[in-house]
Amino acid sequence: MVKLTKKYPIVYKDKDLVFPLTEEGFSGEVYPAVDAEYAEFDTYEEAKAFVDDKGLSYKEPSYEDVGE
Amino acid sequence: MEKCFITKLSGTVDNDSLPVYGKMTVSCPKTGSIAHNVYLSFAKGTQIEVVGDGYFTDSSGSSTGKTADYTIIGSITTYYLSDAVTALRMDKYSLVSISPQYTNGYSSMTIDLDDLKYDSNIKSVRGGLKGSINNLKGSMVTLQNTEGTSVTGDLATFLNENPNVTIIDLPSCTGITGTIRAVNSGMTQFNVMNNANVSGDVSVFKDCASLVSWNANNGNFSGDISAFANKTGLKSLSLLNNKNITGDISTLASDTAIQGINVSLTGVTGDITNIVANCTDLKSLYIPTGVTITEEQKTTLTGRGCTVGVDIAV
Repeated sequence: MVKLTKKYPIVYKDKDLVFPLTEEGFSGEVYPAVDAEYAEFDTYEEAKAFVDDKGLSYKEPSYEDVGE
Repeated sequence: MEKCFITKLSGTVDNDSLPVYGKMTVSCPKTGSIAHNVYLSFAKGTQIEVVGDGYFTDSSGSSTGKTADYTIIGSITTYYLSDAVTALRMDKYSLVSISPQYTNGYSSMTIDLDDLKYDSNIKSVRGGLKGSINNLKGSMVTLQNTEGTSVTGDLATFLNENPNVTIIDLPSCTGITGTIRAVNSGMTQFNVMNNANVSGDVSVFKDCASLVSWNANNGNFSGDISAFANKTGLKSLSLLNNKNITGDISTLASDTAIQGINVSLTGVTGDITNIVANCTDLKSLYIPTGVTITEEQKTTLTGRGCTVGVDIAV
């Protein structure tokens, strides 16, 4: 089990971030799922460059159906 | 009253930007690579017009002209638009539902809710909203803002005046305010994330047995998290940073379809033993330090494909 503790953790599956990257960063702990890839950074700039380089993005989960 | 003289002169104008009596204009420029379609429904047969450049097409992209008829009353009809279309004009009193392409993401559309103030038929509005939601009265079912944050209004009043609402999706719209005291028990989606101007006790959602997703991240809700227990269709629950949410997280173990739980930075406590046992579809679990989680449980969850966060502002 991996534990991420740096201020800017990145967890992603394919091109999708599991949670968004924010400039505020985090102060807690993150344990990535075994089928996820991950990285962690001390600065937002480094984290943002990583996200951009990998072409990662965050999408809010959507459960809607086509309909009225 | 002073005397006045009214006369009517015959004449025509060719200025597309002038308002037309009984009609509303929605902006719908093509953005990105998403198909440029619009879904519309009306309470009577009517005609939709392209304003300015572009034309309607058939599903293969061939032009069908600058106007299109709505004929099958009650149905949601797909209108295909050429890339150059930037605006549509339509009847504003019989409109029942309006939405841009949304099955594979959203295309751009701006809908002014002030145009719908006297539309007693309106049920569903999806798009980039502006104006007040309190213009919509009586029969609304779906209200979804897909871009921008300029929509305003009192959500509590809106819900009181539209008792059949099942979908509220107004993320980051801080012009939306209100203290919610009642919702339709058939509510399926509720999203007012990043808006501390909407508040209320979550107990009003206790009878919403069909709830699928609920998100008030960085909000101002209060009450016991057990309001979200026994929701067998609930897939996502996000209460991040609602400091006045309390209660025992184990009450969510009855939500067996749930894929995402975020109660980080709340007052929720308890342990996740029953959640680990029952909620096997979990893909993300974010908890505050007040919730007990063992190393073994972290290993079990991450091994199942669930990312776990402790006290993080996701």
